[in-house]
Amino acid sequence: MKESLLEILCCPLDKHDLELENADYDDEEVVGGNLVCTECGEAYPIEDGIPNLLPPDMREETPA
Amino acid sequence: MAGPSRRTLARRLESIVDFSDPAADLEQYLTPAELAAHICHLAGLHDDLDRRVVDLGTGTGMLAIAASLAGARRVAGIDVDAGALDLARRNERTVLNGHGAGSDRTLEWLRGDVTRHPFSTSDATVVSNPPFGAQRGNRHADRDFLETAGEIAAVSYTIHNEGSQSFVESYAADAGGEVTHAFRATFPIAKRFAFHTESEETLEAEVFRIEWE
Repeated sequence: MKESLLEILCCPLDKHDLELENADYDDEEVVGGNLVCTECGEAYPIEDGIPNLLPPDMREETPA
Repeated sequence: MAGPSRRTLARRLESIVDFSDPAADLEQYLTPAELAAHICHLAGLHDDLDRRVVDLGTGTGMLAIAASLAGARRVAGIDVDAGALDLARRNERTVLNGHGAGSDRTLEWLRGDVTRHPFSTSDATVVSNPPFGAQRGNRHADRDFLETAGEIAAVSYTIHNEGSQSFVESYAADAGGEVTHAFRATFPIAKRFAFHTESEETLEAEVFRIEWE
């Protein structure tokens, strides 16, 4: 994802802003890191360049 | 700025590949290239591609890729299914490869649930081929997608099954929207699931452009 995508995203739980943390970049592309809600602190992982903004109760368990 | 013709668009979109193992409960099937080209060409004529475009339930990526090809500078496709997003990204590479969407265009994929969506915007252009709610337990799926469209969009283009016009018009009116265009399209859908009996069926669909308040 590009950082500019953040302009239209929010936390799916409480609709507050998200902040990019621990970002890994490949050129301008954010390929890893977390989007963290500035209000509730929930972290949404960026997996292989695709942010996973499923509400946490819909997330699959991470395979061991 | 004039985008490519509808025919050129459709031809380019024909290389988009379908799900190899579709999930019945998500009603995953390929949006026909012709229909995607029609919708995105129309959106271009209405200057609706000047806004950010969001494809709700992007599946194969068809409508998102079509919007990008038709001239939208910023497009995002969201899907609940990780497999769909992998497919959409592969399709993006196939279709846009060599034609360089160009550095001024972005096409992004994100995972999320349309009914519990992660969008803060309220003036996007939404394009969507939602589940029709044909499967048990999924009956109001297209209503849920419309609800999200009403929240995040200034304008939406959504595909529904035959006989949806009065529902869509009254839903839009209740939510402060207005149907400005409605047209029919015939879908060929190949046999996908065990419960489909004909080898190829056609499906009458209806497409609506809605302006949201």
